[in-house]
Order: sequence, then C-alpha cells, then structure tokens
Amino acid sequence: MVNRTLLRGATAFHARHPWQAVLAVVAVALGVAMVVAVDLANESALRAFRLSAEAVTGTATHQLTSPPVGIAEHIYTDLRLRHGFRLSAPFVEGAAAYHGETLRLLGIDPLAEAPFRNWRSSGAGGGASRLLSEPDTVLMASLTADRMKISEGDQLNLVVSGRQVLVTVAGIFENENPQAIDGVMLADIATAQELLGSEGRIDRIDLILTTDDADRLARLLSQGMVLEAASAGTRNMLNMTRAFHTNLSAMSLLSVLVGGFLIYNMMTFTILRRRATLGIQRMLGVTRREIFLLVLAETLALGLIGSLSGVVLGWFLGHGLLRLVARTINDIYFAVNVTSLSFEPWLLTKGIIVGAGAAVLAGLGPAIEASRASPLEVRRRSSLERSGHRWAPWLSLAGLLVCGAGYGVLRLVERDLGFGFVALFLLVTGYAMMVPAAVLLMLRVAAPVMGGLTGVTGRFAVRGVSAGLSRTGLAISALVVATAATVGVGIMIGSFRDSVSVWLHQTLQSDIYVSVDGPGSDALLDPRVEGLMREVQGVDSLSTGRVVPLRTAFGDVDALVLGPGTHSRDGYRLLGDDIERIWPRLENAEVVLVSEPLAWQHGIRSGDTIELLAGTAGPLQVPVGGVFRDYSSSSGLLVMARALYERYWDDPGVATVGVRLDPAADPDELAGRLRMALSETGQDLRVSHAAAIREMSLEVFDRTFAVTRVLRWLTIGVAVVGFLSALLALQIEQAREHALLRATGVTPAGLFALVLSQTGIMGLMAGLLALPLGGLMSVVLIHVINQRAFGWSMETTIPPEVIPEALVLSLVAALVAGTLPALRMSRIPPALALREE
Amino acid sequence: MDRNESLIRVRDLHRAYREGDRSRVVLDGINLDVPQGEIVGLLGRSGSGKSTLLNLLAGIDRADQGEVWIAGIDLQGGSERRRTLFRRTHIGFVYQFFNLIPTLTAADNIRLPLELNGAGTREAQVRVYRLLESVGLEDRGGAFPDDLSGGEQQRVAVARALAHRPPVVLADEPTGNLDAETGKSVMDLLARMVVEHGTTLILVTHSAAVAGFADRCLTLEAGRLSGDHDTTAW
Repeated sequence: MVNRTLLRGATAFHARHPWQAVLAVVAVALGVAMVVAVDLANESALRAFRLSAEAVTGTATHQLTSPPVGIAEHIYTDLRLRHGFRLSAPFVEGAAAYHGETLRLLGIDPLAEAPFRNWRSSGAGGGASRLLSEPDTVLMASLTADRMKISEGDQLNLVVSGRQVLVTVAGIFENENPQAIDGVMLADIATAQELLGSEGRIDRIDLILTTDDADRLARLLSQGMVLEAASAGTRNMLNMTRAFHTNLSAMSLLSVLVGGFLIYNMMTFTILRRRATLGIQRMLGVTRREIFLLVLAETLALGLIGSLSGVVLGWFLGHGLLRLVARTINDIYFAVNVTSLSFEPWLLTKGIIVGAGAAVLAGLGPAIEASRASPLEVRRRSSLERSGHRWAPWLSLAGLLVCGAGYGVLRLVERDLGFGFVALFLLVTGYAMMVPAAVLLMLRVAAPVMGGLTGVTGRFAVRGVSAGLSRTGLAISALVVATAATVGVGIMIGSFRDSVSVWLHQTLQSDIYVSVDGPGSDALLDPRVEGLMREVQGVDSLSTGRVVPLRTAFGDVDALVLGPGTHSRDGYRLLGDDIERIWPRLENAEVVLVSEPLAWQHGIRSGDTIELLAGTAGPLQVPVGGVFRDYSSSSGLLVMARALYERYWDDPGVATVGVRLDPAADPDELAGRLRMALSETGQDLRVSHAAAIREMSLEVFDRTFAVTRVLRWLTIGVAVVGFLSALLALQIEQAREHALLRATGVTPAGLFALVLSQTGIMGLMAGLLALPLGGLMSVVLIHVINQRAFGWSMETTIPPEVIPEALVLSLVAALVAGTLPALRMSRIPPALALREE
Repeated sequence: MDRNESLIRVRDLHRAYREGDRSRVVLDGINLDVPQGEIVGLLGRSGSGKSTLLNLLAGIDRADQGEVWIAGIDLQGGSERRRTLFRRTHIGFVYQFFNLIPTLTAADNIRLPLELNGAGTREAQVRVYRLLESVGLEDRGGAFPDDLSGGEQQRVAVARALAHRPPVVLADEPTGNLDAETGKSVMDLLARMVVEHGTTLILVTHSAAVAGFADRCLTLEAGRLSGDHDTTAW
C-alpha cells in the first residue's frame, strides 16, 4: 500500500505544478481517444454490416448457392415438393437506383418467408399480399421511406441494370432493427427476376436444416451446387476487411506509444524536481519500495484520468472517423450503411486498459530511478543530468538490440501481419531509444556552428538542449516517432499511389469503356451492344469483360472473364514471367492468370493448378499461367478467357466493353458516335474515357487513405503536446539562467528569440532524425505490412515533398509548442537571479 | 566624472510589498549618493531590504516612490527595455551563489556581456583572455562551472561582472558561499579590480571582514539607511 501522507505530498506537488500533469493527461487522453475512436468506428461499421446481413439471412441455418450463374428455379420447387425441404425460401438480390441513392432490391417468396424473416408490412391488404397479386410492386423499408419521403401508392422510377422501370409502392415494411434494413426494397421473386433480367434463376435458397437434413441435402446436390452455413458468407466478407482494420488500429496504437513517451518524460521531470523531497523522505526512513509504489501510483492515477478523458474524447472523435471508415469500406469492400456509432462497453474498457497500462509501463523507469536514489545523492541536481549523459550510449545499445529483435521477428515470422506490426513497433521503439545519444552527437556539431553564427547566446541555446537531455532527448524522440510516421506513411502512400497510377495506365489499354450506367457494376449489357459497337467507324479493336464470383477449393474468388482484344495483352504485367509467352495459352483457354494478392493469400505460383467448381462439369483443374500485378482487389482476382468460361458455365453476357480506337479517330467524336449507335438498345449506358476512369480510381484511392491522414495528424498533435510539456519543464529548470541573462541585459525579445531558437534546433534535429526512421518505416510498411495485409508489392518512390515536409513539420511543431514557453520565459523577472537558493 | 560627483543618486526611495491583505514596507525613504570609484558596504539583517535596494539600483525593480539616478540616467522613468539596455551597459553583478551559466564555459560566461554590448569577436577574445589572466584562471577558460571550485567560480563571476567595464558593480554576499580564506582572496581580487577599473562597488555583506574592504559602510534597518555614511551625501 502507498503511504497516505506520501500520497498527499505527491498530490500537492502536482496541484502546485499542474501543467505537467495536465499535459501528460492530455497526451494519454489523445492516444486513448484515437484507439477508442478507431475501434468504435471499425466495430460500428462491421456491426452495421453484420446486422444488415443477419436481417437478410434471418433464421436460416444454411444457404444453397450455385456461383456464378445462380440456381435454376425448378430446383427450388423440387427441393420443396419432391424432397420435402419445406423450410426453404428462394432469394434474389440486385441493386436499383432512385434519386441518386442505391437501394438493395430483394426478391422473395412472401409465402415462404415467415419462418425466416420477420418482415412486418403496412399498407392496404397487408402490403405483402399485393406483391403477389399485383405486378411491379415493391415494399419499402420504413427508414428509407421516411428519409426519401416515399408513401404507399407512390410510383417510383427506378434504374435497374441501366433501364428505367416503373414500380408501385405497395406498402412500407420494417423488422425489429429498422437501421439494419435501411435502403432495402422487397419485391415478389418473379417481379425481382423480371426487373433484374434474371428470369428462371434465383441467387440462393435459404434453408432451416438439422444436421441430418443438411447431410441428406448434400447428397442430393448436383455438380456446381454449394451448401454452406448461413453465416459463412458474412464471415468471408468481414475477413476481407480485417487487414484494413488492423492497419488503422496499429496507427492508433502508435499515438499511445508517443503518449507513453510523454508520461515517462513528465514523471522523470517530476522526480528530478522532487529529488530533494525524496531524499528527505529516504532520510526519514521511507523505503525504496514505498517510493517505487508512490511513483507508480501517481502514473497510474494520471493514466486513468487520461484514459477516462480519452474514452469520452474518443466517442466524439469516433463519429468523425466512422464516416471516413464507412466510406472506405463502401469504396473498396462492400456496401455498408452506417450512420451512428454503436456503444461498445468492452471497447471503452479496452481503451482505459491500454491507456492506464501504457502509463504504468512508462512510469516504471522513473519509479525505479526514484527508488534507487540514495539519500545523499538525491540532493544533487546535476547528478541526474550527468547520469543521463552517461546512460545515453547504453540506451542506444539497448535500442540497437531492440531493433535487432525487430529485424529478427521480421525474418523469423514471414507471413503473419500481427508479427509484422510487432516488428515495426520494435524497430520504432529501438530507434527512439537511440535518439538521445544521436542528439548529443548532433549537438557537438551544432555548438560550434551556432557559436560561430550567433556567439555565446547560440552556444547557450545548443548547450541548454544538451544539459536538459533527460527531457529534451525524450521530447525529441517523441517528435521523431511522430514525424517519422508521417514520412513513412507518406512514402508508403506515395509509392502506392504511383504504383496504382502506373498500373492503371498499363491496365486500361482501351481508350473508351462502355458499361451499364447506375448501381451494380456487374449489371449485364444488352446482348446487342458488342455487335453495334463493331459497326461504328473508328473502332479498331474490342475487348469484353465481366467479373463473376467463382467457387474454388479455397473459397469464392472474383474472376474476370475476359474477351481479349488485340490490345488486351499489354494490360498485364507478369511477375517473374513473360506475358508474350503466356498470352496465347490464356486466349486458347488453357491457363488462367491470378493476381498477386490471390497468389499471396493462397500460396499459388505460376505452374500450379487451381480447382474450380464448374457448373455442370464438376471440379475443373486449371493451370495457372502466371501471377500478375493488380491493385483492383485486395481479396484477389483470377483472369480467364471468355472461351474457357463459356465452355463450362452456361452464362453468356458481358458487363464492360473496351474500345481501342483507330489512331486517326478522335476520342470525343467516337464516344458521341458510340452513344448514338447504342441508343437503340434502350439501356442507360456509361461511355467513359480511360483517362476519366483513371482519375476516378485515383480519387477513390485518395479517399481510402483519408483516415490514415487524419490519424497521422493526430499523432503529430500528441507529439506537439509532448514537446510543449518538455519545454515547459525546461523553462522551470533554466529559469534562473534565463533570469541571469535578463539581469545581464538580454531584452525580453532577445530571450524570446533565444528560447525559440533552442526549440527550433530541437525541432530541426527531430526532423533530421525522423528521416532515416521514416525511410525504415516505409520499407517495412511497403514490403512487409502491405505485402502481408493485402499481398500487394510495389515500387518504392519517395515523393519529393516528403523530406522538406518532414523537416518543416517537425520545425513548425516544435516552434508552435515552443512559443508559449518562449513567451513565458521572456517575461521572467530578472530579480529571480538575485534571489538566494 | 569627478571622484566626488555622485554616480549613484537615490532620493526618498520607498518600496513596499503586499502580503495578503497587508502591506510590508521594505524601503522607507532611502537617500544615497555614491561617487564614482567608491566601494560601499551595505549591511543589514536578512529580510532588511538589501536585495530590494540592489534590484532598484539595477533597474530590475521599480520603487513605489522616489528617484534612482545612475550616471545621469533616471531608472524610475524609463521603459523595461530601456532599463534592460541600461543594465547591459552600466551594471555588473556578483552573486553569492556565483550564478554562472552551467551550460557555458568559463570563457563563454565572461564573453557573454561583451557580446551583448557589441564587442567584436577578436576584441572579445583578447578581453576574455586578459580577464581570465587577471583572475588567475587563464588555463581554465574551457572548463564548465561544474568543473570549477567555488572560489574559481566566483573569480569567473568577478571577471564577468567587470568584462564590459560597467561603471557600477553590485555584489550580493560575494563570499557568503565560500570559506574564509577563499573568500578573502576573492575579495582581494574584486577590490583590486574595481579600483583598477575605477568602478563603483555596492557590496552587500554580513561579514565584518568583507565590510573592511569598503570605503564606507551603511546599515539598512527598518527600511532606512544609517551608519558610517559619507556626510557629503546628505
């Protein structure tokens, strides 16, 4: 137990010098706020998706599917009537656009729904029954109807698969969780099939089965049919986003690390200031253990106050982040509609544990230091600084060992993302431990330079940094870590963006692309489109594409079914192989290509064989011709020739046609001619230039990293608080010297400039020291974290602005933090120098 | 300036501090005239207002009432900046606890007031060396204060106080933190140097031995000066 009187004394100390404690609390609060906000935003987005998926899955235990073509309608009838699986319901899903909003159109059999989903509809005749009795009728989710001011009886002009269709709202429906079904529209299955152009086919059959029933059904299934647990699909979707969420969490933990530096800094400072008091306490018989526990109790208390404040702050910050996280998930993974943060007590508790834990860990060093001091030594102030100078090389050595451990983790565990982050944190921490010694070395160089430039006052500024190394070293370390994070992340994003840009130029070989306008990127083009386009003057070559989900031995994979044009080959770059050699085999339906992420995730290499679950022909073994670089999907992509697909799947149709123009043709003119020629299909088509697609893709890319940028700035914010705290500590220590300067005739403005130049030196050193660490972080982020998280490899390019940006950033951060202390120091009364100690 | 002409002229100086609801009078109508080159010993109990008087003479603090003139400059009237610049050129300090800047070498500590007064690098270098030589520390210029003994630190402080040739040096218990022998050698040095430079020295002390270096001694008691004062000042 901690002695109460000692605790009272410590509390009185913090009450008398509140700003140090307040800044430490702010730093912990910011760190914890980031962790809580990221966790809450992640969890809320995923929870919204889960709830929405569960609302649609209902009480089904199993789902029967037949990717990618769907299930022939008669199979459902057979199952229900011939084989007695009465607890079954057919399901069709597609997208429809209404007033700029994308709605989910679900086709159901109202008579089979009751055991699965509890839709409660309102409207004349119960609403649901009208779905069966009247054609082109829909039920609208209550929240959606409220938001879009839709009422029963309204006629809606929807865009489905690029065609305008008119439907009537037969009623409004809801279930026990209206939020989860926001944006959903129900129709009878026949209506939905007609609207979506999938007559005779259903996407899946929901089933409630016992284990025995499931076994019996599995034996009945024909080739190409898949029976699996209802939760499997949702789980697979959620797994796709795991790496994205892990990356955000790691970024937020970095700020806790920076906050930890601050706690350490603050506690070391308070110990330094209380050494005389501690010495007296030791002389009076207070044991080392009691002093150790006292200091630890203080850090725990500050950590807890910071964590609790951080949780509250995190709740508000989470609302802002949720929007960014949800947008990224929508951009690159799946549609999720989430507007509010879900209250998750365990995440808040986790935030408190992380914050308090980091505080206690950071407080261990100062607590040990305080407890070890002898009653005689504690009275000498300069001994600590000297020991700080003595310890700097040893700390560097320890840092080198920690870096070595990080490197060892990288080499030993080659695929695990979590260990990748552990290695990154070890490298960052190890480097930060080497910063104080590096600062001493740099100051040795800086002192004569500054002396030469500005004389004694310059040397005073430089040596002041060196003299207060126990604080300045740590403040610089914190700023180094934060700035390095911006450098590392900046290089990573820059490299990624460059690689994506190069890849887009290479991949988009056509000049113009035609696809269905409106929601649903997989909507099929009218069968006449290809023929009509060939007739247009100026068209040199056409390629077709469509992405379909294929079932493989290792799960569902998106496959690009490619009808190659003469220009398509140049769109692929194989890793370690020559596309010229492989391309004819792809065209001849002999091989498929796999994207780098797919190859990484499943250990696929060129020459391996992939097992595909083909429609009627049973499992199909296809050789892999090569691995190609692709950034379109983090879950992976498989490319196969249209000839191969149509040989095994009865599923003609294309979603996109790419046009290579005659060199003499004018792209804008040709786009106009294409629009005119295609107007006779009656389908709303999008005719896009490759340049516009590239631009849009890069916009999506930039949006994806918006969250990272926000987190990066917050980490810098924590470092600025840390810097301010360290400078205020220095202000107290150097108060007498500054008063002496004032007494000697240095003006307040001169002292202000002197202190600011001191912080400027610290900021500049932090910027310089951040560059190697930032470079190292970028290497790990690019070649380890990205590789392990997504399977993407990329070329490293250092954006030219990154280095000056880092230097300016750390300099400005230091000067911002230094302005208040500089102002306060410039107002220091010169009489202080005359006062006796 | 003539030896008998007042370099320091203080008239009817009052200074009080607030302590809670009460006001504590520290200086209560001080009058003082000190000619150039004179060494004045200032005696008094702890808390008698000696340091307050030094602060007022240095332009660090302002009186509630009265006048302070040094070398013809009115310290009560000027701005903070003007008083700072006055201090830079006219005043040198020697403190009880030396107050050398620990992050600067002995030479740099002496160089600081020279640079503040605009001395050129070469000029400053020569002056610093001469001063180090005259205080017997010509081989310790590169040492930091922590590496010097108390006596050595105070010698550096004396050199620093006189580096820019100020007309007035204010010394607050300059031997208070030194043993008797070291204290005497420092006082010998200080007295010799102020005489050499023709500097006026105001010497606050409790020690009779140190007071012996003064041309005359004044006692500060109950806010008023009394004692062996020069009658020409009245």
